[in-house]
Amino acid sequence: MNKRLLVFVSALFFHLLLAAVPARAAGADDVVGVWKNGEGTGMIQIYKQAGKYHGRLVWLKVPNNPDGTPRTDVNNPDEAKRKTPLKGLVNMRDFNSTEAGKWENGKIYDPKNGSDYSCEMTLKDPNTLEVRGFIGVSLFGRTDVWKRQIAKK
Amino acid sequence: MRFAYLLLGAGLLVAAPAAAQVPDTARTAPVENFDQFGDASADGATNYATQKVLYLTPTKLISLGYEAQLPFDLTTMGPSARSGTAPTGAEVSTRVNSARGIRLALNAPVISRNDFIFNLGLTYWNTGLDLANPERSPYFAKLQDGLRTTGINTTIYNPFDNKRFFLLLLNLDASGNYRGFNDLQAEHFTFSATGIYGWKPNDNLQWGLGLTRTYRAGQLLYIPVLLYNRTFSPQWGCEVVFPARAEIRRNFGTKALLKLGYELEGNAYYLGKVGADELYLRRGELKPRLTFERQVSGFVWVSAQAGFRYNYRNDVFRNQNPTGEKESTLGSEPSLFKNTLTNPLYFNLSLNLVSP
Repeated sequence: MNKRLLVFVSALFFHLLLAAVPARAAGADDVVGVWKNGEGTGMIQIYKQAGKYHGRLVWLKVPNNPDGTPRTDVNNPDEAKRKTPLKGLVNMRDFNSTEAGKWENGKIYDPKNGSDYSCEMTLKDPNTLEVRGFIGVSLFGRTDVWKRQIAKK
Repeated sequence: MRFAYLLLGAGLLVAAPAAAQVPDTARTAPVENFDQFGDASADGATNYATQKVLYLTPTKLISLGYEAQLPFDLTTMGPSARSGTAPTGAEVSTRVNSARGIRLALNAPVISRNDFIFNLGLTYWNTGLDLANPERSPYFAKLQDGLRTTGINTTIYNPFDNKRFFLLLLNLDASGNYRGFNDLQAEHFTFSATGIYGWKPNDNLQWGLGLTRTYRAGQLLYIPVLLYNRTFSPQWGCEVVFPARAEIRRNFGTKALLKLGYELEGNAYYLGKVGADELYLRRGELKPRLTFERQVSGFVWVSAQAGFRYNYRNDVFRNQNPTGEKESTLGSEPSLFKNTLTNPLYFNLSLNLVSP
């Protein structure tokens, strides 16, 4: 009887332990999903890879050039990358989950001018993400408010 | 016992899906039609036009510069006889051997969100003047102290949606020949403001109409203003805040550009007293110029500018602002010192921290 009780308690403890770990990780993963930028010109899909969070452009309000060809990363300072399609471009890199609802130490790339900025993200509510890009210190920066997007059909 | 193992197994099975949340979500995204995506929140979202136009000259967050004019001649006449201030109304001249000094500017985004931007700026412009014959006129003697402007300014950008916005610029400047901030008096201060209601139909065009209270022409004016920033192609564009400045832009990628245009620059400077008269220099200059800007490293850019300093107004009055008094029915306001300047070349070099 004591052995049965011991096994039961062990199982319960093990269960609770496993359940507890992913519960915290799920909080860190709340940023994962599809977001639309404040200007409404693009959607970025944030995903997790090797413990860090990254984002890629998955939708563009204006997907093509005036000649009908898909837009590419024409302003990239690296000439070899200027033919990379914007759609699918990984433009957010290496964010760490530092505290509940906050992801820091990342980089964001703006294809409009070919510049990389330091970046941090703050989840204001489950569907609102504040993305602050800055130069050097956070004072010299701009905050864009992104809205979570979900499939409607 | 068997029950216990079943329980343990069940526990592990329940825990397993939760543990599976930890791994990467970097799998290749399934082919999804993102056109069919919409806001997750029921209240929806408003999109806001940004302040930026593609390939526009980068905003300068910190600027450290130096400007110098080549030598020029300054001739002054006067004061009028009724002021009783010596000398007489005869013309006297001097060579201005140098007019040069530092240009500092700081522009910090205090609030910078997509629905509201509030920037706070500080400027300090110093122009040291070296006159060959300052003794020839009490006005020249005042100029020997140099001219400087210290200012605080704000930029408020308030977009209403993804097309329409309101822009408000406010400037409080202290201009004069003061040598230190302890010398500042109420007479040194001028207040300028510009309000523009505008539209940004796409990333290549931003335009608007508004009103400005300005001292750029040397004395206070209330005039309409036109904002027109347009990029015609990745190579060509224009940047216009008419009548303050207008430039045609040639881009070389996103890291270098060349501009040809002009800027109207000026203010009212308090120079203290000569005899019983307060002296206010109302100075307005038109600067046709060529500007080259390029990235040095990261967000540090260099800007080199060359052009003419063309005198538009440079007269000394007893009041900071026009009084309405006329020399004759169709004449202009009587000045205390009426000046004529030759128009030299000028150069400006600055190092800037920019926000592209």
